[in-house]
Amino acid sequence: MSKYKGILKENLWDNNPVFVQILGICSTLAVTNNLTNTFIMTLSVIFVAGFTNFTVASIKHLIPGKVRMIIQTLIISFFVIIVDLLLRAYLPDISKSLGPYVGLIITNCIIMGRAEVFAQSNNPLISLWDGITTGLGYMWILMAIAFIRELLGFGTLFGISVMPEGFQTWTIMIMAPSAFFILGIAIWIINNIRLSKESSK
Amino acid sequence: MEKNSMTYTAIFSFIITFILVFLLTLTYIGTKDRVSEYNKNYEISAILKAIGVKFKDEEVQKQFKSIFNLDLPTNKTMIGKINGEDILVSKFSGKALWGTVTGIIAMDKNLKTIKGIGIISHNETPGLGGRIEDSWFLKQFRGETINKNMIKVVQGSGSGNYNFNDGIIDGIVGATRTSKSIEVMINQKIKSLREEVGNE
Repeated sequence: MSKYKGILKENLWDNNPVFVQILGICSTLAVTNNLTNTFIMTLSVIFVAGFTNFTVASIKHLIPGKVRMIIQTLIISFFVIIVDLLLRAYLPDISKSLGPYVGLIITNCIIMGRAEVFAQSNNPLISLWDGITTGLGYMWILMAIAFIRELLGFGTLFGISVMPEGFQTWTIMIMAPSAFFILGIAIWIINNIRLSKESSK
Repeated sequence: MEKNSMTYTAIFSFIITFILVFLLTLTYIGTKDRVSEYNKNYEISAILKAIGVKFKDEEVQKQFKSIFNLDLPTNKTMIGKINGEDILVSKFSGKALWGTVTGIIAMDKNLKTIKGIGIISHNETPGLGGRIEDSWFLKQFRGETINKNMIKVVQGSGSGNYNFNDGIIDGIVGATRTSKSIEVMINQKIKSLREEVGNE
């Protein structure tokens, strides 16, 4: 059980895919100006990362070494297209506003990275857990960025107006550069905290 | 069989591709009807919204028929009647920043006022150009009198220009190219509608 807890802590904080490994940055910049879109997007990443890890770990002994990475990409694409089809059928409005970004989960290095590093050498169940927690690590930092961007950029949270009347929205927050600033500041603060903790040990 | 041999690799790749594609096909078939039904209703809803008709989701097709006397939207100019007034409804499309934008425009039959516009599909950046779908942007067109057969999309305050006599629309802040493309598309459509109606 402590092994599962360790993986959770590792993926959420110590080895977070976004602010420690600096992976998946393009989607961080693209989809974080609106909490609803960010939530569905990161949920899709959790689903894809979890099941890809599970599948790769289940058939790792059968995969020929030469085509290992191609097979991983194939499995990732499979789950991404499933997500895309389901969103189109059951959440068509969100699917429309996310546009091409759902399909681009295929190129998210976080998922490929976990499949190659973790699922190739672990059993299916713990790989599933690793995929889900990596997705959660990606989710919380993106949701935090989206919270700041939607609040200041639109004056809303999940589309509900929360700022006082007459609040001047910050246009820069809607545009991609603001994600650079916020993510950069977040990486700086978080890594400072991590380093000061380490040095005090 | 040797796991790294050519034959094993080929057979393995074939089998796994076959299984995954098979499952994808099943999912596609399972959701196809829902998606096409949604798309059909989506276009009708966009038209009804553009002309400012209130509608219930279950009755969009019926309401559409009562106004236009058509079962499904066509690509030609459609003539409908609301409150005894004839309106022309037509699809427009054109290139914007990332891809084609398709929408519909409703005008009075003298082509002097825009009754409303709606967006059917686009590939613009979510949160930037994608906001052409937002109601604050689209509402600016409702009842807009066109000026010298044109509308103008300008850089404004970003909250919308609701003076309906000047033919001026506020563009979207941060999405200048998309806003400009909308202006070009709509002006082209107005021009082609004038030719079609014969500029009476």
